[in-house]
Amino acid sequence: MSRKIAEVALGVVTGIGGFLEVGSLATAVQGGAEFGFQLGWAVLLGSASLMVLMEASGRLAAVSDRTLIDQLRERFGIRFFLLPLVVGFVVSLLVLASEIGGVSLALQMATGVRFQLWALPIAFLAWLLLWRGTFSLVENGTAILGLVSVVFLVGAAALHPRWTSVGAGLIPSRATHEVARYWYLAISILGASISPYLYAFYSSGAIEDGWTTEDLGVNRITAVLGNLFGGGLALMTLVVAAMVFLPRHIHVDAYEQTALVLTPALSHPGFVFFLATLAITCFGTTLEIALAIAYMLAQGLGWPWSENMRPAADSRFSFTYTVVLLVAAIPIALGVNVLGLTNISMVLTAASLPVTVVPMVVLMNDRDVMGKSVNGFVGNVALVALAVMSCVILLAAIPLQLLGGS
Amino acid sequence: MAIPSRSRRGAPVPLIALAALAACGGGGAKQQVESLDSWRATIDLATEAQLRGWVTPRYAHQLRDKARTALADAAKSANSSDLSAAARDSVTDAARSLEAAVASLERVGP
Repeated sequence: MSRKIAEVALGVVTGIGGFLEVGSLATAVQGGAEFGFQLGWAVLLGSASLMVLMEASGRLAAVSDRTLIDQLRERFGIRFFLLPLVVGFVVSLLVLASEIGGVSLALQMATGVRFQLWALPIAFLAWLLLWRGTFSLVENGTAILGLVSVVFLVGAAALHPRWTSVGAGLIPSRATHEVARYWYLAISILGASISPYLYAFYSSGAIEDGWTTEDLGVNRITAVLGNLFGGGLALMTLVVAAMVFLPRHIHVDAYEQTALVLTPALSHPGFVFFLATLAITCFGTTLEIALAIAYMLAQGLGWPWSENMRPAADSRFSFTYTVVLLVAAIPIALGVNVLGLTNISMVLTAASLPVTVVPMVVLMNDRDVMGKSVNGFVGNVALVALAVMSCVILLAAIPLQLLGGS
Repeated sequence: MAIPSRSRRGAPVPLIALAALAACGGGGAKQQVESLDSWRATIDLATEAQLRGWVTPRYAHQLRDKARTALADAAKSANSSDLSAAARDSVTDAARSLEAAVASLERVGP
């Protein structure tokens, strides 16, 4: 019993500490700065969607002893599987580069040393931790440090927002101005919340942690509470930006501007904690995405894989995260615009959702795979709604990038 | 046979393209002014933050550099012949305002 409670607590901490990263921070700050509390619904929808997908992918792994990637390949065949594999790989690589950019910018703002110079050392440190560490070190260590992001809750409380107005923002409403920009930011916020790497990582983690059907309760509570609290922090980020940037007409054109967001509420500690949040959460996500990409390739191509194995025992898996870390660091080292890269990555992430979400509807209803744990009515309604939403996003993403992206 | 170079309502495509370009030009100036105003507000907040010791001079220096980049972009845009005189004036006014804000931040800084 106490082991279960510890697992749930750790899972929830992982949800809280691991939710914010370069994409969710940037999009929540931009959304709050330009539209106040009005885009709160996109944060809520993003965390609710991730909740559904994580619960489903965790359940799939616990019941079938196979990850989501394994199941996609086995159930739909290699020809179809190449689509989610390639799309997931490319999109995750872009997000990985953005995360390395986030850590680099945090270090630039703290030290004055240009962000380009930090990219390769950060990639090396991430590689070293993956090479030497275990899955629980990666998952729990970074999540516990990521609790520093609770500073946004403290900041929001210190600014005394009208909570009824914050609540009103949780109900979708029409844009009062800049319609294309509004929907572009809404899609970016969704893309930042529902990244395919997250549930690929989560279902691989379920196998790494040896989950069985006995862990289904832990899976459900972890997915619900972790994303509820994590999404709450993203919402508080939007609230802080709405209170600080919107009245001053500050639009975020560069990441450097975002470091001011907590200072009116928390003065110098606000600045320090913002940088710490950016650095720690982006670094944690860097580790997770590098692993997620290696998981995707190894599971998809049938290689041995586990972060708990010695690198020599799963050399192709270890080689993959080594190479992707290096490749993702290169654009940052060359000075690419991190905020621009982040925004594009988030929109492409949102656009890539159908290739994993639609097959999940089939998998979660397959009795051969799920046995007694197939989706119920509520689960199916949620998953089908998500699949439809992901197809709409796919159609709207590129036009909105052209019309509403800055 | 349908003529592909015409829209459904019959307006020739080059005309539509020109109108779109003109709209982009006006929108470009508006965006430029908004961006400059946003940078001025950022620099004002950074000046206050540095005066109160909320941020480090090192960080304020980086923001100043970013604001100068926005100013350089605005100067290029104001010199461009694509802008109307009124649009150019509004960009120039916003740029002057940002310059003044940057100068204030420099007076506070080390």
